[in-house]
Amino acid sequence: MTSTATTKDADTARSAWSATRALLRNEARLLRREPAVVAWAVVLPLVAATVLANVPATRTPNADLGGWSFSQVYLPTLIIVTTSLLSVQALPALLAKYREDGILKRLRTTPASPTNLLVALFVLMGGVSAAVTLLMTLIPIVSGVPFRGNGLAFGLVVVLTIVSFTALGLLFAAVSPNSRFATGIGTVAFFVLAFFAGLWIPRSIFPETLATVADWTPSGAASRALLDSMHGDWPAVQSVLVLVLYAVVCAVVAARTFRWE
Amino acid sequence: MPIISVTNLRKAYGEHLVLRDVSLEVEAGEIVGVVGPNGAGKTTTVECIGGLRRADAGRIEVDGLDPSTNPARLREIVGMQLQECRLPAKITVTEALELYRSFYPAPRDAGELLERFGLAEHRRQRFGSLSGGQQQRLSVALALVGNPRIAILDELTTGLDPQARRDIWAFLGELQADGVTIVLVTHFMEEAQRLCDRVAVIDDGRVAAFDTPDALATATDGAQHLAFTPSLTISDADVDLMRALPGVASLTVTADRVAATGHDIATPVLMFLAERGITPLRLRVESPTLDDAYLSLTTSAKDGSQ
Repeated sequence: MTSTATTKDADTARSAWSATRALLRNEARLLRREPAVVAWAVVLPLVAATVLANVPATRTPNADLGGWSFSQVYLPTLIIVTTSLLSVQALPALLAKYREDGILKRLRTTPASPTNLLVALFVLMGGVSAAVTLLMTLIPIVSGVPFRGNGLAFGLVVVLTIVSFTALGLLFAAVSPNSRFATGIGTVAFFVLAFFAGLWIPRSIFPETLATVADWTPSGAASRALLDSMHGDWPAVQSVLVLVLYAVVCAVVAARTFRWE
Repeated sequence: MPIISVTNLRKAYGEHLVLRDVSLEVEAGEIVGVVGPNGAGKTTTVECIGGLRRADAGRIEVDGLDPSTNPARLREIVGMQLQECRLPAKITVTEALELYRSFYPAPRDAGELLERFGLAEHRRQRFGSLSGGQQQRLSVALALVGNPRIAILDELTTGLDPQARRDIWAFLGELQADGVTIVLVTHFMEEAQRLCDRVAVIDDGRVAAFDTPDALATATDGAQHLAFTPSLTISDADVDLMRALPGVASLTVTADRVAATGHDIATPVLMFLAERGITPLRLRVESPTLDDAYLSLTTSAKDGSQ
């Protein structure tokens, strides 16, 4: 009995993985054929990173910035903007369109589970975010603007940020009934995330209560942790916990509340 | 033991009661048709059987499984083709088939399905560029790619040209020979009559009748219609005699045409004519069809209860 059950479990696990892999390959192929969904989130930050790293005024250290260059201090912001655009805007819009067109309903009649599709989209969008982030980090370096800080900590925080934001996007994607709703919630979420990351008002001048609140948001925690690592430190435990918590809670709730129709 | 058994199914969407009381049993290897007016509850019934909707009351068993609690195993043995489902515009025919194959433990060969559904020369074409009929055929192919034991097909030949429709009918016949049980929602009585072992007529959330197409056609007071042009003029006296023949409900004579309606009237009328030496020219005999049965069983829908 036990051995049959184990074989069956192994079979199930194998087929779940093969379904996820097939969905991932398919989604990647479709994204390559229709890159418009992510083009703006990919191109814009790359252009910004290239300009900042090559214009003399922004590539050289600035006394007002405590010896940092604009190219360096804007890196965390660019990373958060890119990741937010891809995760909370592009991803829910994509999945809501699938829901609207009955593509999800069709998939529902097969043994593929919502988790298979969510994992595939998670890996795909997370992968795009990671690739763009890597390029944005490398562009200044090859342009002669050195990376300063704790590289290992920075890398780990970037990974956590992407995982956490993408999980948040999956949650929106899972529950949006239609593309209008997805676009709406994605846009609002983007501005909220960007705000707490300090895109409009720098974090350094946040009033104390606002800073406290910001530290409990994924983008506030991410930008604080990225800045810490650029200053050579390891991120605060709180920042890491906040990012992990959002990632886990959002992913679980997304899988549980997923709507096919 | 039936492979699908549905007992006293009830389902409302908000205030609107779609299924009042639906009970059905489908034997393994049968092709069962589900017909009925729009909004009668056909799609809701099959979507409940397929585990896509949960009924408010009643019991469903599909091969011993309860669709509402055990969908994972159900998905492997039930293939479904639904209305209003699309694929991403940029996926090609082969890619879609291969993707769906990857979901099943023992899928059908993609090449065989491509051939059978006339999609072989379109295999590299994207879904968005296929014609409506081609999209429909691909959709049916995807429902069968997992080698299901039960296939639920909702309006599978809608939008197909007659040739494509016949090709799909032939394939369904072969599937049945392989032991696949098929539940077919359809608007075409011809389709139901040709393909189905039994037909369930659903009207206003209830099963109005469930029997073989022939039994349905004859049971519903099946009127026979007869019309001909007599080779000689029939005298008024003979017309009255014909009206009195057994089974004749009405008989009218116009300029050159005689039309009669009634139950099993062809034999007595033709024998009467033979005795008088009259030949019925341009003879037409219409026997009761599933169409007639359908119309007489679903009148409530036409009375505007929708």
